[in-house]
Amino acid sequence: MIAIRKWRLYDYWLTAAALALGAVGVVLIHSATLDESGASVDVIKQSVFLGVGVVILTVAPRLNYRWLGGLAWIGYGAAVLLLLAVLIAGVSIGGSQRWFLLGPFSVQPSELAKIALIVALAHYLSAGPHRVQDIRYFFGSMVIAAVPAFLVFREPDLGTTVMFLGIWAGMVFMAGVPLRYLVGVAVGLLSAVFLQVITIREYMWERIATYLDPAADPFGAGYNVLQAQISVGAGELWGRGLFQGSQTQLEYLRVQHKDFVFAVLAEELGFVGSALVLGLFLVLLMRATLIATNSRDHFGQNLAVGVTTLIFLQTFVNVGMIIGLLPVTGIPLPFLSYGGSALLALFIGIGLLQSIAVHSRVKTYAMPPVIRVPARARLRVLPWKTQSAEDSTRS
Amino acid sequence: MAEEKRRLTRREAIRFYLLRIVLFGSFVALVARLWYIQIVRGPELRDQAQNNSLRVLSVKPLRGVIYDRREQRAAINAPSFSVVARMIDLPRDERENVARRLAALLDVSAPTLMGLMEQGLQSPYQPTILKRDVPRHVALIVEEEHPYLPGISAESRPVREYALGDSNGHILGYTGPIPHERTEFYLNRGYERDDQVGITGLESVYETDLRGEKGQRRVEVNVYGRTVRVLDETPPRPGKNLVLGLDLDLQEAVTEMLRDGLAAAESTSGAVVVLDAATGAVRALVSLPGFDNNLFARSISDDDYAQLANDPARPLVNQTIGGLYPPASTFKLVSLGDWLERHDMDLETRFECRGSLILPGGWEFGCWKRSGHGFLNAYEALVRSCDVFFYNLVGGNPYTGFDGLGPEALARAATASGFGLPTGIDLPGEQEGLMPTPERKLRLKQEQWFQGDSYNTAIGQGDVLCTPLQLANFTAAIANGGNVMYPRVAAEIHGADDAQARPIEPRVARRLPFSSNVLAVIRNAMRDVVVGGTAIRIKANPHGIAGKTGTAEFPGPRDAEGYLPTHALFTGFAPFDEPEIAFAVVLYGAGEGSEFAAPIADELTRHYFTSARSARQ
Repeated sequence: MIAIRKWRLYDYWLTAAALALGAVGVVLIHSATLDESGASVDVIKQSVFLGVGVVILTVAPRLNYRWLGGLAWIGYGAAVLLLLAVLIAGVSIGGSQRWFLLGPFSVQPSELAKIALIVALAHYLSAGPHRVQDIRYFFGSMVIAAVPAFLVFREPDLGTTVMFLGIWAGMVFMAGVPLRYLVGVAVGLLSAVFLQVITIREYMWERIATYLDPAADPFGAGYNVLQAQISVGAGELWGRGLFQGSQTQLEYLRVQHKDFVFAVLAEELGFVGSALVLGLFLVLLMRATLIATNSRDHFGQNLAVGVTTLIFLQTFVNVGMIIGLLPVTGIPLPFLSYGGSALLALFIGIGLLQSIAVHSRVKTYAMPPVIRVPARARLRVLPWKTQSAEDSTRS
Repeated sequence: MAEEKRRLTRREAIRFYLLRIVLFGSFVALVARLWYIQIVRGPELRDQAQNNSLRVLSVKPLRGVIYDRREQRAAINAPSFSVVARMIDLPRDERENVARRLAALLDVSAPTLMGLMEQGLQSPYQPTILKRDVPRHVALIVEEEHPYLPGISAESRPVREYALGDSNGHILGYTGPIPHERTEFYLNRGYERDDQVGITGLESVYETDLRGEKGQRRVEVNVYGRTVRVLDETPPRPGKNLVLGLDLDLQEAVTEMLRDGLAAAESTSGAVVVLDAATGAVRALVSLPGFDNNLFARSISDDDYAQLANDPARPLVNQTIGGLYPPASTFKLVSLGDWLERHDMDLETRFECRGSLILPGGWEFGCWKRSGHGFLNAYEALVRSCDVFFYNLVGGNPYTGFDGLGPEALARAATASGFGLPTGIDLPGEQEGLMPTPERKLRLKQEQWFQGDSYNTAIGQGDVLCTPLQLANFTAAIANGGNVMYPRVAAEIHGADDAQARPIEPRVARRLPFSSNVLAVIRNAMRDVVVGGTAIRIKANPHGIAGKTGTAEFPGPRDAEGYLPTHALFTGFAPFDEPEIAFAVVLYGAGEGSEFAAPIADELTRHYFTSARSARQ
C-alpha cells in the first residue's frame, strides 16, 4: 500500500532527463571517436556505465537515504584517504595525477569524493538553521570542504578544486548561513588568489590568459578554445548533421569526447540540439530543486541541494567555457562527457535524489484505511510489491 | 495515516526562490550566448571551420626524361620518399616531441629538425622537406605513427636517376633543393620552397623545359593534415623530354679509353670532346676524373662532398669546357691558315730550322726536334710540327729580315676562329680561354710585348689558353668547310605528346677566316700528320683519321733533363674525305701528344665507326 504511494513519488521526469542526457552523451562520444575502424571501446565503456546508472536509479529509491547520515563520516574519511592515495600512488596523465588503474578502467577518486563531500556536508549542516548561524559551525563546514579541495588542488586539478568549493558555498548558502559570512570568505579567497598569482602554475595562467583572448595564440593553449568556438558556431541553427561535423570528424576539436563534448553537440546538432540539451539540464535541475524543497528533513534537503549544485556548476562551467563565457578549467559536462567515475557519481547523486523524493513524506499514523485494489492493478505493480512491504515494516 | 509536506522556513523559501532564479537565469545566459555564436556569428565561424579543413595542395609534375640520341634513357625519375612537415598542422608545443621522435627514425639530430621546422614556418601550408630519399620502411613507419607526428608525412617525391653517373655527371648535372641564396629568384618564377631544381649541367640549362607545370588538388584534411577527401583536381603537366645528340655508348667507351690512357700516362685528369663535324652536336664529352651525379641527386653526404671538393684533380670541374690548356702545336693550324690566306697560298717559301732560334738578346727558342728540321715549307712544317718555322712565320726573323705575320694579325685570325671566345655550348660553366695580343698584355700584365712573345704565341704557348671544346669546335670547322658552330648537347625537346617535338636547329656561330682552298690544304696536311708526320703512330687507323698533335709545356717541376712538364693534346677529324666527327683529346701532364693523346683518338674513331655507327643504323 505505502509502497505504491512511494513509487508515485518517484520523480520520473528526473530519471528521464538524466537517462536522455546519458544517451545523447553516448551518441556524441560515438561521433567524436568515430574512425575507419568503427565504434571505439570508449562508447562501449560509457554504455556500460549508463547501464549501471539505470540499475542505480532502480535500486536507490528502495533504500532510505537517511541511513547515509550514519555513514557520512566513514564515506568522507574513505574519500580523503583515496585522494591521499592517488597523490602517492596514482597514475599521472598529462602532468596531473588523478587516476588509479583498475584493469581496463581508470578510476578517478575525485569524482566519487564529490558525493562523499556532499553527504558529509549535508549531514553536518542538518543540525538545523539555528546552529548554522554560529560562525564556528560555519568554519567547521569550511574545513570539511577544504581538506578534499586541497588534496585535489595538489594533483593538480584546478577545476575540481573549484567544484568542491562551489558545492560547499551552494550548500552552506542554502542551509541558511548568514550572507555576510559567505561574502567574507569570498573576499578572503580573492585576496588569497591574488597572493597566489606569483606562485601559480603556468598551465593555469595560460588557461586564464587564454580565456581573455583565445585568438592571440592559435597554436598554444588557446587552440582548444578557438577550435571549440569555431565548432559551436559552425553548427548554426540546425547543425551540420550527426557524424557530419568537420571540426569533430577531422579532429580539429581536441579532447572532444571528454571536456569538449558540448562542442561536438553544438556543431553536429546546431543551436536547436544544444538548446534542447540545455533544456533537459534545466528540467533536471528544477526537478532536483523541487525534491530539495519537498524533502522531509534538512539532511535530505541539504543532500538534494548538494547534488543540484554539483550538476549545475559543472554544466555551467563546462558549457560556459566552450562558448567563451568562462576560462578553461577542465571540467567535464555531466552525463555527456566520457568518464566512468563521473557518470557513476552522477547517477549515485540522482539515485539519492530519487530516494529523497520517494521518502519525502512525513507520515502521521492513524488506523490505516483498507483500500481494495483490483487484482489487475496489483499485477501491474507486482515487481515492487514485496519490497514495499519490507519497507513499510521498517518505517 | 496522513502524509504531509515539510514546511520551509521563510528564510529557506527565499533562498530556494533565489536558487531557482539563478538556475533559470544561468541557462538563459547560456542559450543567449549560444544564439550569439551559432546564429549571429554562425556563418562566419562555419567558413572558418571549412577553411580549417580545406587545403589546396600543389601536385608536383614529373620532370622530363632525358634520352640520348638513340633513345636510351640518360636521366629518369626513380620512385623515392621524402619526409615532409606542414607546419600549419604541427602545433608549437608538440614541435619538440615530434622532432625528438623523428630524430631517431630519420637519423637526423633533433636540433637540425627543429631548425628545418623553423624555416618551414615561412610557408606553413606548404610541405617542408625534413629528409629526402628515406627508405621505404621508414616512410611506412612515419605514416603509421601519424597520430603522434602531427603535420608530418612521408610523400612520394621521385629522385633523378642518371645512367652512367660517373661519366655523365658533368653533362647532365643534377637536381637538388633550391639553394638558399636563390630562393627569391625561384619563388618569383612560380616555384615552391620544397621544389627540386636543376642545379648544374643540362638539368639547369633546360630547367624551364624539364620542370613541367604543377597541378592543383583541393582536399579536405583532418587535424593531422591527412587527406580524407579529394574535392577536385587539376592534373599537373609533366615536363618536356630532352633528346640529346649525345651517344651514351660512345660516351661510356670514350670514358674507358681515357681512363686507360690516363693510367698508362700516369696522369690524373683529362678530357675528350667528340663533335658531329657538320652540326656541332656533341657526341661525347668526357672529363676525368668525374663525379657520380646520382650522389647529388640523392642529397650527397657532407663527407662525400668534402672528398670531391678537396680532390686536387678537381673532379667537380668539367675539363672539356672549364679546363684551360695551352693549345700548343695544334694552334699551328691557325698560324698556317692565316699564312696561306694572306700570302696567296704560299707553299713555296721555306725557312731553315737548326733546332733552335737564338734571339740577339740571347733568348733561345728551341724546336722540339733538337737536331733541326732543315729547310721546310709551310705544309711540311705543319706535318712535322716544326716550331722554328712557325717562330719565323709569325714573329719574323732578325737575322733573315723576314717580318712575319705579326701577333695582331694572328690574334685576329684566332679570334675569328673562336679562340678566346666562349663557344656558346648549352652547358653552364664554360671558360672563354685567352688569345694574347700586345695591347692585351700591356693591359693585363703592364708588360711590353717582345718578339719572343710572338714566337710563343705562334706555337700556341705563352699566354694562349683554350678549352678542349674550343679546340674540337675549331677542328670541326676546318673539317666542315669553315662553319664554326654552336656546339649542342641537346638535339630535340619533346612535349608530353610528340606533336610538340621541337628540334634544336644547328646554328653557325661564325665563319673561319680561311677560304675553302686554304681549308683543303690544312685538311690535307692534317691527314699527312697521321700518314707520315708526328702522329704516324696511329697510321694504321682504317677510318681516314686526320689531325694534329700537341705537346703543351706548362709551368711545373722540370724533369731530369730540365724539360717542363707537358700536356698531351690531339685534335682531328675523320674520315678524311667526308668528315663526320671532329674531336679533341687532352691529357693533363701526360707527356707527348703523339704518344698519349693520338692513340685515344685512334681508338675512339675505331669505336665510333664500328659499333656506335652500326648500332645507330
